[in-house]
Amino acid sequence: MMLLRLLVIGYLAAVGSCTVNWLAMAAVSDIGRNASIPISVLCKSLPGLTRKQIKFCRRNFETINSIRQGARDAYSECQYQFHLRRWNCTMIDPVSREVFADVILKDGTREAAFVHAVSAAGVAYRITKDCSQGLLEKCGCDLTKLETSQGSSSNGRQIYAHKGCSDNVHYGIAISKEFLEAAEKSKNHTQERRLMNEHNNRAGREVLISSLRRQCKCHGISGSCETQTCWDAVPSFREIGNTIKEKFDGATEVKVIREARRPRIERKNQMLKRHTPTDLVYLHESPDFCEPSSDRGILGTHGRQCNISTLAIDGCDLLCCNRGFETTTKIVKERCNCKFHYCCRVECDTCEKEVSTYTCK
Amino acid sequence: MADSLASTSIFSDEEYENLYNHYYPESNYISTVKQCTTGVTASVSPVLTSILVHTLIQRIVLTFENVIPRKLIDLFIGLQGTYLLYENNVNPIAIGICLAFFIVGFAGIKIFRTWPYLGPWFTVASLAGICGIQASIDGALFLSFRGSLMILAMKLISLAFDVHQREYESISIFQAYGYIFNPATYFYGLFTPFKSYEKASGFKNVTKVLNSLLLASFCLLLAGACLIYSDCVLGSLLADNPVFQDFIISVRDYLDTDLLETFEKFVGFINAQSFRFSNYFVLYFVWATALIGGFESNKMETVNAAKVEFPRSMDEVVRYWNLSLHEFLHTYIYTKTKSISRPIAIILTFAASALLHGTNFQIGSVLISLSGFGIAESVFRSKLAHHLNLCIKSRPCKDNCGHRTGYSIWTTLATKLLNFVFMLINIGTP
Repeated sequence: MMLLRLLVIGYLAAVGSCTVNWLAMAAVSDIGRNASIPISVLCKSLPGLTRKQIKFCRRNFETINSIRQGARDAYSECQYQFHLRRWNCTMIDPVSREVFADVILKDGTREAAFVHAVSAAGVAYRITKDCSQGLLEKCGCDLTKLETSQGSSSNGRQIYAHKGCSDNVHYGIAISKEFLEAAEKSKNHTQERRLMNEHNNRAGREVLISSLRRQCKCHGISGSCETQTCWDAVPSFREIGNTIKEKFDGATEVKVIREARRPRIERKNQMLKRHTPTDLVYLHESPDFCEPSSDRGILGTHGRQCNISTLAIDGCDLLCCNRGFETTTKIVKERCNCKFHYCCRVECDTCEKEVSTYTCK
Repeated sequence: MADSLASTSIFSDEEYENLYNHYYPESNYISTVKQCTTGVTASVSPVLTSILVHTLIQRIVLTFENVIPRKLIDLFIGLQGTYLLYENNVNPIAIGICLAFFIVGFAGIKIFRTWPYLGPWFTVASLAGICGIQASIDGALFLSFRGSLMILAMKLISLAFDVHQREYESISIFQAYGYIFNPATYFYGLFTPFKSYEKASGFKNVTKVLNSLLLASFCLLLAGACLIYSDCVLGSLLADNPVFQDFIISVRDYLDTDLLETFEKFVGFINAQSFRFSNYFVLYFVWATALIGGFESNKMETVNAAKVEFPRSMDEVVRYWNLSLHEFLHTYIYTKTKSISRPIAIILTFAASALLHGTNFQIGSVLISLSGFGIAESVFRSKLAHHLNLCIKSRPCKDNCGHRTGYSIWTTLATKLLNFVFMLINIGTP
């Protein structure tokens, strides 16, 4: 019995050694509330969660579906942002539903920073959105504490900063923080990685907050402002992904200084500008993702499609790591010379076109 | 492993296409509207519910008219109105200014009540007072209570004119306090004649009460619909919507200047319509609170959105935009100055209407242009109606107008067609 327990704990510890294992939830299709299956069983069946996350799942089961959707959003956004680069953010094995690239992410690279930031932002974003659409019940709506905070007292406009039902963003941020922190506090983790992950998770959430646009409109007789209606417009997740990608491009390499009180993050190159709470930080330089390495979870760039007409990172020179590329030509039939005849049909010819695709060797 | 993984994905092909769309993966508009609706409702419902609750209390108190002396009721209602402001965190400076204006104005009315020229001079003094207040405080603060101040001034002006009549001679400050500050009409601002306030009663006649409550709930629904339409449906189309903005940026280079201009006019049209619907929201809400608060229902119409959106003439737009304001201007400014001369009366009416808003160039110029156009149209249509002998005047004809409309189907059609043409000219003008 004791041995079994130790084995289970050992397995969980091994699986929980990477803090974004929970992203494997993206591979699950839907987590519905099924009356016949108890919540604890459902929670345990989700791939990649740590023990604390399973506990969170049991306590806040209604948010799990949104978190799952948030994981999907984050994963697909990561794939979009990196689809032209050597490492294209393929992290989840669709068959085994495991996050296999964890070994890369274990190294504390820029890519790890991006993945952490975008997943934190993704969960917060999705919870905020679902709350605003009324899909979640709780949503930070604490009716006993409906405080109104005074805006600036120079204008007499109606107060809209209610700490109550319309503050969905803060609820989203809180859930994201709790859920992701439950993944961090695992023993198999160096302090450096933990600090870096905390910083990057927070950076992702800050990007979400700063991307909110408060829209206010006055209402009253003849355009006066007796009451003001305000709401927060959350932009599309693509915009947030773009911002985090920009942060990725400008990420700072840091080291951890162990001080008496608390270890802190310090940038390696003192000549560069200090990083802000919204910037991404990383510990080690990324490897060159050219050749596959199964123990590091790198797929390599063999067989990737490249673009012959550009000199950027997705061009056939850089993407294929100067190995060369293969050209395949296909003859494709498509509709062309379409004409509209009165009345009312469209007649098209069929043209044959030669289409070339280039894949890395 | 690399090959198999490169080709498979955790999403089905369809899902992958949808999620991995390079451009705009999801329809942001519907979800933005939903988000907006939640946010707007949450931010405006505290004020609206507190106004409704106070209005109900007002009505209940009025029911005890026979038991409690009316003066006490008036005092209570006035205090309720003031408390309403305090409860909704209205700036104390604003409350102070309004109370001071009321006290000074009422004192002036009482002191000079036997002077025959009290009316006009009081009007001038009030308008000057409003402009003075605007000049001495911060613009945003002034804007936050301009509507209530305007209606306050209008009610005092109506008292100034009416105090000569015997029935109003002995008006007490309590009555005036209740009349002006009653929660049903003070906050957003609804002008009612003093008589309507005096006649306001509690829950007496059951059928009447039920009818008025039914009408009030209908008005509340309309108000809510107008608010959501103005803020969310139209508001989400405008400036800050990222999808819209990106679309503009991406097509701007490809649009030629004509299309771009049309597009900008479209944006202007959306803005104008949003402004109009915001006005309808306020006025329908105030109509509902007046009904709930005990004012008589058959004189309470405040706005008619259909007649403003699809107007017969500019006259109709100006009239139905805010019926109570129009009624005030007509009764107290136009009728009193008609004796000088008609054009001057019109000019003075529009000047008063503009100055009630304080000195605001935009409003002033809009009113001047509306008035000019309205007068020109009205004169033109009268002449045309006279020559063609059809009912195509600015105002709908009364029953025995003597025009040919209705005699035959051609005349009816011609009338309708001409009225339709005038409507098209006037659509969307405000």
